[in-house]
Amino acid sequence: MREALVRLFCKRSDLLVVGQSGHAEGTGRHVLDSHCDVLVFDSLQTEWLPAILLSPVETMLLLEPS
Amino acid sequence: MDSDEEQFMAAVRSGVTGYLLQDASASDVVAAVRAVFRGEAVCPPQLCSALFRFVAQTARAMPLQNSASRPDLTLRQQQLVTLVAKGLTNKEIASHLNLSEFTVRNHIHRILKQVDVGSRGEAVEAIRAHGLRHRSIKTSRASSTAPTRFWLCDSGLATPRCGARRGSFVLDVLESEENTPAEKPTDCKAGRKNLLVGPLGFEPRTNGL
Repeated sequence: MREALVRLFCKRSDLLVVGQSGHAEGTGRHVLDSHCDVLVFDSLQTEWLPAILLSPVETMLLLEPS
Repeated sequence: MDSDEEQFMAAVRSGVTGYLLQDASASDVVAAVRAVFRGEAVCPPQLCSALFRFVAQTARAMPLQNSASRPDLTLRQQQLVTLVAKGLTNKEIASHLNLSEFTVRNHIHRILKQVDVGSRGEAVEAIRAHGLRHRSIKTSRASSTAPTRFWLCDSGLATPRCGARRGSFVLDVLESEENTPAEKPTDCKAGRKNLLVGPLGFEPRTNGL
């Protein structure tokens, strides 16, 4: 439940959700443009992930895929 | 190695620095986000042994691996490689990074030399194969008062809302305290920048929060 996670993170003043999405095409650019510090996701099956891996987004947290 | 371990190892090889199991609690998720931001790794104890075994096997298989051969790119060079990987031209990269085209050409020339390849495509492939050296995390990060910025992404397999197509995407930005959770627009009629994709297939427990 992404909304649940957003609500959860919004309660923490040290965390700021700058974006959220499915793994649709084009998401990679938005992730890069967001200059996020941490990328939280639940799937490695994304076409744009290689670009993210080469980016300054260096901390990624994977929630175990179901 | 069972399927859980294989999945975990695939994630580690992909560059993931934190991994949580589905039974993680909400506070586990929050703690993990903070930990990876501090530059720490998050690994479920039950999967650590797989990691140890893999490192031991790799060390046996490649005892003479020379880590110095890995490209050590500057942050700017990493940015450039990212854009090259996306297929941008020098002109587009220059515009994106507010540099002159000449500077971009220079950077790329240096990258090709450093990686010892003849083309941009080969450079991207070589860097992907080796992985990038991670920038050192500033210790001041942990004590910074600025919030950690992060992005949530799911597999897009959820039930769409507001008639959105499956997997569709609209940027949703929470801009500071002005958007409290209760006020945050979550449907199409509520206004701009809606979130259109639903469950992650992962529901953190909220007990004890």
